[in-house]
Amino acid sequence: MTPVIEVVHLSHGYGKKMIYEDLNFSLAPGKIYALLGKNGVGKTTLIQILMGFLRPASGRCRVLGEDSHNLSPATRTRIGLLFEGHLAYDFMSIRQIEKFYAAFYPCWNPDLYYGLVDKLKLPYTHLVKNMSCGQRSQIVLGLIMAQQPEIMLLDDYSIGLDAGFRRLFLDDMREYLDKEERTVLLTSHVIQDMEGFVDEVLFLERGGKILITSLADFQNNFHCYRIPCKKEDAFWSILEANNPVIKNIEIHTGFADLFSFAKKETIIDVLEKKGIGCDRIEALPMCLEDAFIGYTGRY
Amino acid sequence: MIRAIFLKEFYKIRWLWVMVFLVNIGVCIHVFLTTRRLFILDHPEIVWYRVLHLGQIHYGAFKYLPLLSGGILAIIQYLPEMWQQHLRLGLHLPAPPHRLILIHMGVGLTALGLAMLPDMMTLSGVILCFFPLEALQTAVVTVLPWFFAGIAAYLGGALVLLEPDLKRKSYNLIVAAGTAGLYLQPAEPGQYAGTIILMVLPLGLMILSVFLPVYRFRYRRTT
Repeated sequence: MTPVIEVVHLSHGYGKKMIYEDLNFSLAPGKIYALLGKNGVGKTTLIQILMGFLRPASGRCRVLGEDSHNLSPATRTRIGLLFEGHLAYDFMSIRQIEKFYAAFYPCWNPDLYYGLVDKLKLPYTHLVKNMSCGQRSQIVLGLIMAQQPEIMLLDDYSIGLDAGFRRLFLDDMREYLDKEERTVLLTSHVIQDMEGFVDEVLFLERGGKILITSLADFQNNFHCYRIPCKKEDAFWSILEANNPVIKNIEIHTGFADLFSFAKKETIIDVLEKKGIGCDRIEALPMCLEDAFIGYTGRY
Repeated sequence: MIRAIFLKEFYKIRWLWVMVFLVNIGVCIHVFLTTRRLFILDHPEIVWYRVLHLGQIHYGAFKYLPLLSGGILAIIQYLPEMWQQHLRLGLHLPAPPHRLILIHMGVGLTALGLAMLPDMMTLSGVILCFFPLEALQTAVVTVLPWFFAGIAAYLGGALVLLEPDLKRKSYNLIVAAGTAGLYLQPAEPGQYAGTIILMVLPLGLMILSVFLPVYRFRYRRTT
């Protein structure tokens, strides 16, 4: 299956500071991907490169078979972009902005736009600049949907949205994506929203290390083990040794949480070799946000 | 596509454009009253002598008006595009960037032309009302460089505002100010009669130069 997005040996940085070196991944069509990572790992930079507004320092980044920084107009009709902050021409009204975009896209479907907009119960003469962030998100999503793109790149769709509008946004998306096969790559800081919505997650870490896994696999295979302890030094030494079995350790007063893809027995082996008693080791249930923080670390 | 962008730009600039237009109308009224006052205070032959032989300019209020109009129009048209990088919305549209920016400039230059139209009409009307036809020819040659300064201010404003890099922005500002300033050099009435066509050339080059910051914005590389 030809990937819709393909990143090959991508390197990028600002000045002398490199964000990624040799980043490689590809995304298959028809799936919903979430690009997750802590602040500063380069999510927005990667999205900017994929959107074609940043030329990578080296390597290739291809979207629908074309270099992302040099997309032809025909290919751009197949890509829907949601910019951070739900960027829109705010001096236009609901109707004016729809008419504007309709002139550019051959598959434009105004029903999809007005279907979303009508939920707001606003007159079509209402200006975008007089809308709340949540209302604007509906307008922007309606415009992207009406365009009927094959790929949707949604940069931090949840920014500024309250719980209700976040839910509405995702429900609208779910309904839209059920009808036809489209690929979505989104970023968000609201991790729990990804649960039950995305198919796969891309965990981006400092230096460009990336893990792509299905959400179900990640939730099933990534574990948190809590070990009560009096002395925390032993855990620090494991952390410093960069043990490949243990992804992360969060050390608290009186206990430590170990995060790993390994089974309990493997963890016990590793700890016993370090002289840490594991008779009270306990596997803790985690929500997606706990697992995300466990994987990426708190700071 | 052209109609859609024209409409978008119209929605964006219409109210502030009306204000620019009204300022131009105000200056037109001022020029008419100033010229009329000359004839109230002096005999017509004295006024004619001063204007036609001594080169007194009674429409000097027009000198910096196009510059101001062009600069303001560039700001009201392109500042919103750069605010939170709204220009990305336009540049993702399925059209080549140079075509998009040409249409944007077309809208801006049309708006500037419409704002300056009353100036030229008032000048023609006032001169034909109070002076012989030869005076109109001299006045047109005198004010055209001022109008060109307005166009240079508009294009220069676009050049500065659309540039994403701060250092290049400052270079562009120097180029824009220098080009607009050239058209406003002190000159005798009608002095540029033989060279007025050549004075359009820098404006053509400025139009081309506006493509550069747009392409840099679209395809920029930060390392």
